[in-house]
Amino acid sequence: MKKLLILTIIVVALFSSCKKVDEAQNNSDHVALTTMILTFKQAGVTKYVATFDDPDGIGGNNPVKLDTIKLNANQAYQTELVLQNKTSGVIKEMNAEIKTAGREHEFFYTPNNISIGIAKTDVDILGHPLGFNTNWQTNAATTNNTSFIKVQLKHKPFNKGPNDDASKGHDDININFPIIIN
Amino acid sequence: MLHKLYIKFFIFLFLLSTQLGKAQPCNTVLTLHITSTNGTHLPQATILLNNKNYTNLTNDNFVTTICNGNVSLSISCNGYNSFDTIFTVKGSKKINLLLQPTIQNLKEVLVTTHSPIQNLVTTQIKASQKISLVGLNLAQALQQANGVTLLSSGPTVSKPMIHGFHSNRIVILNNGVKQEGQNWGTEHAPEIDPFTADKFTVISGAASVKYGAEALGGVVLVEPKPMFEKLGFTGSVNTLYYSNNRMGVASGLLTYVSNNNHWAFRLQGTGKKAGNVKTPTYYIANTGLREFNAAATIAYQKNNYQANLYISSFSTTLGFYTGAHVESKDDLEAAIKSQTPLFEDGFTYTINRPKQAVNHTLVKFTQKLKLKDNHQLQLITAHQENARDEYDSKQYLNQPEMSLSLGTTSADLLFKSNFNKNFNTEVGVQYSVQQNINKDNSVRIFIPNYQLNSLAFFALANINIKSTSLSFGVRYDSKQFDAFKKELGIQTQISRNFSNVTATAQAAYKIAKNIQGKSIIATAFRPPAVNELFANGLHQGLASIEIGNPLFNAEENLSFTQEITYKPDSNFKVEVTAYSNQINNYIYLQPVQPPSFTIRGYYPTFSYVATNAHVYGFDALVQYNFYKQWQVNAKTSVVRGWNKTSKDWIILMPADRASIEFNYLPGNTKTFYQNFIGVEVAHVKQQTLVPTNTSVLQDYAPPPNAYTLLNVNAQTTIFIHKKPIQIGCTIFNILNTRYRDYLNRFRYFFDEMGLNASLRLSYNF
Repeated sequence: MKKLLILTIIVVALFSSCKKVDEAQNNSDHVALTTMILTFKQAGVTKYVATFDDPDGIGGNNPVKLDTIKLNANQAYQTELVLQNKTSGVIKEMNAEIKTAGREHEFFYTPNNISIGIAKTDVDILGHPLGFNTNWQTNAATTNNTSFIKVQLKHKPFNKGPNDDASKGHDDININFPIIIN
Repeated sequence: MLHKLYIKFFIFLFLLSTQLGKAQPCNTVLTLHITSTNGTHLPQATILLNNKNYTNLTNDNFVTTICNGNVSLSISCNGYNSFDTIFTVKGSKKINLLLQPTIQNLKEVLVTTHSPIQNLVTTQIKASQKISLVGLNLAQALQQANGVTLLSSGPTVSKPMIHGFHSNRIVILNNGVKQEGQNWGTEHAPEIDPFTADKFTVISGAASVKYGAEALGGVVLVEPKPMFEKLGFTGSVNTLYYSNNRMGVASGLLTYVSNNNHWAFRLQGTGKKAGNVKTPTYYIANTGLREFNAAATIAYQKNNYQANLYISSFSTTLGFYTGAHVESKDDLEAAIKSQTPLFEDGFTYTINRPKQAVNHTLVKFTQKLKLKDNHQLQLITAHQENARDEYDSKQYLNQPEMSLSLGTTSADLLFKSNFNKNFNTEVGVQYSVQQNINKDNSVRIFIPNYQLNSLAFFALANINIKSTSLSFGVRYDSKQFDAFKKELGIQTQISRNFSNVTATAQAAYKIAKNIQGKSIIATAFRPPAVNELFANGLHQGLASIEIGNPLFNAEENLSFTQEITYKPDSNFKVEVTAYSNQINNYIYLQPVQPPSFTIRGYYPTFSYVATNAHVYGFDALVQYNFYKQWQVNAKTSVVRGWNKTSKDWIILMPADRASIEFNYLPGNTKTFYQNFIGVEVAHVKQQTLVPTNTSVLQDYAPPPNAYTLLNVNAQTTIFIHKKPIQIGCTIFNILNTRYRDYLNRFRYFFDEMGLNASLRLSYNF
């Protein structure tokens, strides 16, 4: 009987070992995307920067910034897209991680109620379009407040091809940037 | 009077059929003398002879006539371990049967050993008696009980819903220990292998006093076969095959009881593998599953002392339909609009992302000590570790996006006193510590790290006065929550304490001849669950943002249950149970406007809100045995949930349903025993009582149409070297009907499973 009592105590003691419950983790260092920066350049000179920023990620507070893209009429721009994660309180650039998984990802830029030419200039490891780098060709001036560019990062884990449209895969990013052409 | 005549008529028919129908001599007299191991005569024991139920109406030995040949016999009696056997009869004989009293534990508070009347509204399902249940998951098996419905998330995940309550409002007691998993999610199924269990008991209605806060909707008891049944080696092997998803299941159990009856050992293991599920018209992509479970038990008994060490591990990997794991509102709308799945696939056993991998480990040590004068002390110490890895459809690294580890250590001390056969009491203390950790590799933090300390005291008394049985209970709970969150690099701690007193009073009584009544009044309280307090973020599988409220108060329930049973004889029974729950601070998800704006576009957003609710309904059951070989069972169940604050229906309540089952038991032949063929028709109405407030999105799609299913079930037993092998075949949805169920969270995306035929082999030795 005594032995069993001792066994009970040992069993309880073994299981009562504590975890470090009071050290909370950050919400995702390497995956959450909180911020998108579009930099429009001409001959290497930055002409305009448009930012989407939701530093605490999905849920919680609403995004703090969604810029209107303002470009000039009948101009060509070389555009670079940068993704960041700010959830841990420090800024972490995310382009490299997405590029590493480039064969499963592709950006799409869909103009809505505006005439503009946007062409992807970079490719993934298989030579399929990626979309961090794009050439934008603007047309006539327009300040219609229903015009926007839908920027999507599509995730296509099994089925990315060379000529996909924006309906394939599912959205990792889906932002409508308002746009004005002066 | 008329009824008596009918009975006489049936007895006449019965005798006639026994005389005419058999080639073998069927006038063998079998006499059963049933006593407990301590000598008490038990004439009230229920006898199941060749699959037919008998109640001994005399106070003496049970006497019946049977045919020579193999006979299956199962004896059960409240407070005693049940006894199953198959033996050969050649000529009349008298059999003495000894039933071993079950050592009283928590569950048996509700069953007073000496009264023929049971308290509480319970339904028992014995796996060994209903072989068609073998191989189902826990929730599917429990669905056999009236008032229990399935809440599912696709074909791989289902959990029981009792009287419209589920998840955090139900307590599941696995082998005496409260199951502690991540049960807050509708897509999180209970981590229990039904093969470890011999008996499932569903206690509907508030049972918080005995089983703890949270048992607002009901309790499910999962109990293994008793350890000390038979000396030496015994065991069973079960194999199953299902045609629809080509699921194969194998399960084995081996028990050894030492010759001095002091030691017993048991090993149990189950393996399961299934591929994609097929609806009547297409396969559903990525709906396979794999499961491996193992359990070991060591039991010891000597004199007044019993000890039992139980270790079990449950591991499963479940695929989730790829197209339901949407990433934005646009994705969701496209998936719902499409009548056929956006992601089609053929048959495969491969499980891709999105998927879940869950492991649940339980170590339990139970000790029981019988003191003098029928007093008894029991101590259960247990530890459970629940590890849940969720893999989203998108993958950056080869690791789960959500990885949770939930550990629970508990100790339950119980003191039970049997003062005399009409009065017993029970007092207990329960303590547990629970810690939830998001592992370092977690990417999504939906539930924060937290620690929950719970302490409870309870006291119960059962009193029998003539044919009335009364029961009173009171309980005090205190729960301390400490949650730890980190946002933008800053850590915060949120602490809440919930304490309350709950009470219950029950009476079981005789209303008139053959009519018994049970009335229960109970209060219950449920502290808000961790997701209701702290959730803040994307609920990935459901494409919605959920926001908790750390300031919620506990739910408080006042419930009434009334059951009436009319049972003129063992061949006919009508049972009606009506219930009503008045719940203050009933917590549910309410859509909010505008939807949340995120980097992935707009998400439908839901906030947990508290309201006052009234949940009520009834279950009815009719059982009738006729012409000796026929059985009909009909049941119906109706639940209503009313939001008293917004004066509107509550979302996700089960639709009204009814089913009728015809069984034919043709009796034994020379080779085939315990033969049985059954047909079941089940009808579920369309749910029309849904929230009518259309100013905000309440549901992604309207409730699906009504449906009717036809299921067929057959079984037989053959003997090889005098050992019985049960063979069973079930065809579920034999008409291959296309349907969707309102309680399936994936009903937006695809149909339910089509025709599914199963073949079972069960060997006992």
